[in-house]
Amino acid sequence: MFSTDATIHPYPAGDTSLRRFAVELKSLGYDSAVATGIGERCEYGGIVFLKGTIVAGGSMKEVIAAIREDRGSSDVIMVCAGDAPFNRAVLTYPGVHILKGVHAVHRNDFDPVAARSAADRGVAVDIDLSAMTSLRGVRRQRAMERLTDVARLSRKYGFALTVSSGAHSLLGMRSTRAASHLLALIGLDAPGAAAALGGVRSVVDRPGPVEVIEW
Amino acid sequence: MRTNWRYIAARIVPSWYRPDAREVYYAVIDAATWLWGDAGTSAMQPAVIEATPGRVILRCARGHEDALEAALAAVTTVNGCSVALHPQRTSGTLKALRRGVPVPPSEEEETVVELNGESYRILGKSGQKVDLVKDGIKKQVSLYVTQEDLEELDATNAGTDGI
Repeated sequence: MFSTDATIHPYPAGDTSLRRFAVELKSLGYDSAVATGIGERCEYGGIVFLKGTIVAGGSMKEVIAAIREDRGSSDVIMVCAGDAPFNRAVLTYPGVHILKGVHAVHRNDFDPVAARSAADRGVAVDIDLSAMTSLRGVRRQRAMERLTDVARLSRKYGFALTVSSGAHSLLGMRSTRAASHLLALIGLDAPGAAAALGGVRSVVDRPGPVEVIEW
Repeated sequence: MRTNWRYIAARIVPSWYRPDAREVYYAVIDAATWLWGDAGTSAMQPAVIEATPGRVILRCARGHEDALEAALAAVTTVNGCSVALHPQRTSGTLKALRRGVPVPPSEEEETVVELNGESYRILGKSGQKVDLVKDGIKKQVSLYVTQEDLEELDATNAGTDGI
């Protein structure tokens, strides 16, 4: 069974080196992770690190510019969620793998229309565990409410989910066992949690668009 | 009637942190109360049995193990210090739990290393893992690396992208 942490930020963005992340990820039950700020896909101690890019642009123009600038060098491109029209546009744009930060947007910004688009285009929606561990009070309640909606829409429309810790340090990571318990809080059962932990594979290995080759 | 207890072993990170059982209890209760409320936490009846560097053993009423493990995952600080608690194993007896989850070894040595012109104290070493701390005027800066990273940095005297 594959288990991938969908976002980690190794040194210099965080305080933990990539090799140390590899040691910790192995002990926590993962076999791969998406790391930001690394040059290319690499492997340490049996842990595969995929190169990830987070696009935090507020407009579609910025997202398109960022994806063009990347020129396919990243294995995983993640776009931070925004309002409803933005999310619908992002989910239909080729080259986007994961929609991040859905817990932070308004309830109607990720609706059934967006969910259907995500399922049709093979785009995954990310569940950020740090929203459940680090936030407190009303903010955490809202985040968990959003994530419960996402899990429900995923069951209904069939789009993939990914699980990320968003860790800048090894202290921010959670084991696959702990992740399963946290995912149970938003309504994902054990098979659903296992599928979400392996969700990055499904978006990375999805078939690409048909290319016309002249000869 | 006698309560049926379940025991949970959790790895505490960083391994050099010396946890106080009382402070761990307060942190776990705080996280459990945020997640499950007062009623849920009282039904859980959590207690800290043992708190040693690298390992914490907790007790709860049977049937509430998953709820307590979720609460452990939500613990981010103990007494103001950033830590993580990774639940590892659940058992019905302390003996089986201690046999299954040994205390992780940790070498303690007060060595100072130079990295990028700044001196860091080595706070903990365990196998390949090396935990460094730089004491600043305002706050401590931690750096979690491996032995290989240190050797590479020493050999090349690399800059910020060295590890």
